Amino acid sequence: MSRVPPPEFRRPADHGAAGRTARLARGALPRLLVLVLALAAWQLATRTHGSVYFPTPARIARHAYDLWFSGPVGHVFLTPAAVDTILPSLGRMSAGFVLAAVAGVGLGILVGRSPRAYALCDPVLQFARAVPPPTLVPVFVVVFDFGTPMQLASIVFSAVWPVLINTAEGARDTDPLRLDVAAVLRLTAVERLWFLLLPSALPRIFAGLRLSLSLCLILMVFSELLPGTANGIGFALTDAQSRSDLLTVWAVLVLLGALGYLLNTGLLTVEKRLTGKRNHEGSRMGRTT
Amino acid sequence: MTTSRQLQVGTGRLAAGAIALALVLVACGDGGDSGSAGDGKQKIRVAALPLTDAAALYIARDRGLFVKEGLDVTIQPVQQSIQALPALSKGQVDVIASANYVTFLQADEKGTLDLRILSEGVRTAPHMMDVLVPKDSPIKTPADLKGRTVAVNILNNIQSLTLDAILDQQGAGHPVYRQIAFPQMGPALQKGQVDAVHAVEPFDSAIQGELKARVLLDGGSAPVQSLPISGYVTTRAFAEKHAKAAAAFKRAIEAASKLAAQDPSLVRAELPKYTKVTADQAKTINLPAYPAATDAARLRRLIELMRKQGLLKKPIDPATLLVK
Amino acid sequence: MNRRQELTLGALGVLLALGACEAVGRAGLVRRSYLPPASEVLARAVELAADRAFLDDVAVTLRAWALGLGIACAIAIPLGLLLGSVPVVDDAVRAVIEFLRPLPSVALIPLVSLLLGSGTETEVALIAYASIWPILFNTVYGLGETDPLAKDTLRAFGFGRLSILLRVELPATAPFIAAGLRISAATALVLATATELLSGFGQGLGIFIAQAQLATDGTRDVLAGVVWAGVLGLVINGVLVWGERRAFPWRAGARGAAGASAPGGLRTRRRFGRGGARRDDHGEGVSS
Repeated sequence: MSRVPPPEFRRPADHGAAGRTARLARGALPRLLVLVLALAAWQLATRTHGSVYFPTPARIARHAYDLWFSGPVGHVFLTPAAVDTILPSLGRMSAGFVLAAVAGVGLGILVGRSPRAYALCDPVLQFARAVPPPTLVPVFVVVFDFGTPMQLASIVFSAVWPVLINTAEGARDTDPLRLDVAAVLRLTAVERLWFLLLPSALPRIFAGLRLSLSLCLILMVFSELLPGTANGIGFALTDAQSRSDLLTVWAVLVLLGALGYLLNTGLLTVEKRLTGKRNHEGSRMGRTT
Repeated sequence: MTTSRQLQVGTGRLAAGAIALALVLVACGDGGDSGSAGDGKQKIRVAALPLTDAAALYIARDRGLFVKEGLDVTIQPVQQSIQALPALSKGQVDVIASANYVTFLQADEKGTLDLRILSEGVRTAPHMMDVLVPKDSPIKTPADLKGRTVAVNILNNIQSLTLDAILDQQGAGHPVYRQIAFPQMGPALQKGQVDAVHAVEPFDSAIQGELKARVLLDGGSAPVQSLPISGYVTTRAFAEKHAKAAAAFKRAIEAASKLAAQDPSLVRAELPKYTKVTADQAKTINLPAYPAATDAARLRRLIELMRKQGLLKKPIDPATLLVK
Repeated sequence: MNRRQELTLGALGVLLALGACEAVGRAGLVRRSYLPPASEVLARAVELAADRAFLDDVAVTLRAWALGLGIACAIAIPLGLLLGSVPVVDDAVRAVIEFLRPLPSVALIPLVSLLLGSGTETEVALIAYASIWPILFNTVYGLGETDPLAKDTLRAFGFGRLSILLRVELPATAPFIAAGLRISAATALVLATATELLSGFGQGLGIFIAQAQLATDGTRDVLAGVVWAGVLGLVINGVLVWGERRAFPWRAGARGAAGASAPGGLRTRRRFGRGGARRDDHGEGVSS
């Protein structure tokens, strides 16, 4: 209620389609302006400072364009280098994310359904989550094949925990009244899962998925430090670093930021569709794990 | 609704938490850095890799050569010389021992470091690094390497540089390189994930021993024999500000290298102390060459090779980088 | 199920997991030196507890962790209070924040280390960078959840905006800030170790693991280091959850090691219909 504007500022024109557009413009315009101002400030600062560590955004953009986006129209403007670098990385990351999501939700429901199972698994899960991903390189080297299997494994292994833990908690927090109703209605286990557990856990699941997605981006960079990597965004980053090619380092950073932003927005859109604006409150609540 | 009591308690606890955190931070304090010269001796901080390259450094320390030159040298371990580069350019270390030239020449070209070479470290010697294949591998001659995968420690660096040069001389095609750290080359070769590995001692001998791998090619053969691989580097700022200390360090290292060249058993005795090489392994591995003086001509050969393979764009005259 | 049963079951779970690792290790699927069994790893981990140099390393990591968190708090809390109180600024700055947040700190290591050198400064900077976001977002969120009645009451009594902020909103937001801190603390520790591992120079738990990784027979040490990292994370999480529960006992939602921190679960949420829906929520992920 501290957010709803007082009556004199609430316009009747705020309702309806025209109102929606007006609100959008009011919301998006200052943001766009700030973004543009920030970019301008960045350009100005780097231009005047002229340090080798801070190339101007214009140069970075041009370098990124030359490296990745100056390709033929048929390839969505992607150069062969981009196809070799960006696509495999994104592919691995997406595959890792999907695997982690499926495993996390599946295992999470299993664990969360029974308080006993939850108490059994909780310390182990918290421990697994606290393990820094790059430390497990020797284990992965031995168990998996070099290249994509190892990278996928390292992504999945670290990205699964937020989803798992959040799903387990969401399942555990199901309203007991509803569980009783389900028992009275004699719902089968599958029906209970589909109609009761999953929907009530959905906000928490999405919170976990959001965390996992951010984590996947980081892990994608990590996983490409593993031995045997031949391509990828993270690989391009470390390769550029070892050659002291700062311009490419910056270009990769900007690319990562943009990718992260796009992926986050995408997931949020999906979430809004699935959970509906009604449960908007609940979705934010789950972010605390 | 939050009651006034909760508000009071909440504020109080928040304040308490903040004070506690502040106290912890203050109590931890900062680790204290090395500081300025103490007892009249010039302090020099050196970052060194746990490889055979840095043996002269440790010989100089253990034989008192640094003390004789009036230097107080502290050595910090690092895994890849690139990792110590930021520390060098920020002055957190003064010298990097066993710094591989390719990386640092590139940094110098790109402007992230103003490089000065204090002294040469090691040059290639027969069988100090080899291309190994599994004993039952179908690869029998260097020409068979064309298009196959070869593991190197760092991509686009000295190993691929020298291997490509050797293959060019023999008219053979280039392989495809994969980056795998030395300790993981053994498992990778065993599982057939790469066709060959380019390993440096002591991993070279270790892999030959464990997996009975075959030596396909000597990594130090023509045209890269006696090629400088790594050395002792510093920044121009340090070399100019502490010219005397730099010169003293150079003298001490060159004296130690001379000792190492004359009597390899000194090196073999040092290795178990600062690397994970065991005493037994140290007795049998092949050592690199420790030059007693810095040769600009050989460095020029290296730079030529780098330019030819596109690792360096600007022509750099190594003589301008040497510290007198 | 009471606390003791929870703990027993938890311990049982740990034992089962260890047993599984042990079985796999001894089954001889892989060479002993490449992947030692759990008992050897644990023995080594206990051995390390007596190793002075190792403990120094751990202390260095923890110090960087604490400093990074402290700086993150110092920046995120005031910024969060500002953004939460002045919606216009919040809206405007959101755009920039949404681009900065997803940037993985890992990717920033090459650049930041060139600027700040290898060592604690880089580590602290990266930890602070990654830890700001959860605390910031939770502060803003918490501000939105403040009971308006208390604020209106103070306003009616003539207190100024700043006064209201300090007397009502800050204490009410404190539990949320604490929850944000708890989340940040966990990832900050992971990040501290990971940064040390990747930058490879200096002192710390990550450096210990990095050096062990490159030894010809180092997997045991690596895994022992991993055990330490995991246990440290567990302990820190446990301490923070306990602290949260003690400091803010009226927050019925805080429970368990993974505890929810929202006030009282889904049910109570519906009572406080918030106008927060006006700001669209880009979600909050922890980027480290």
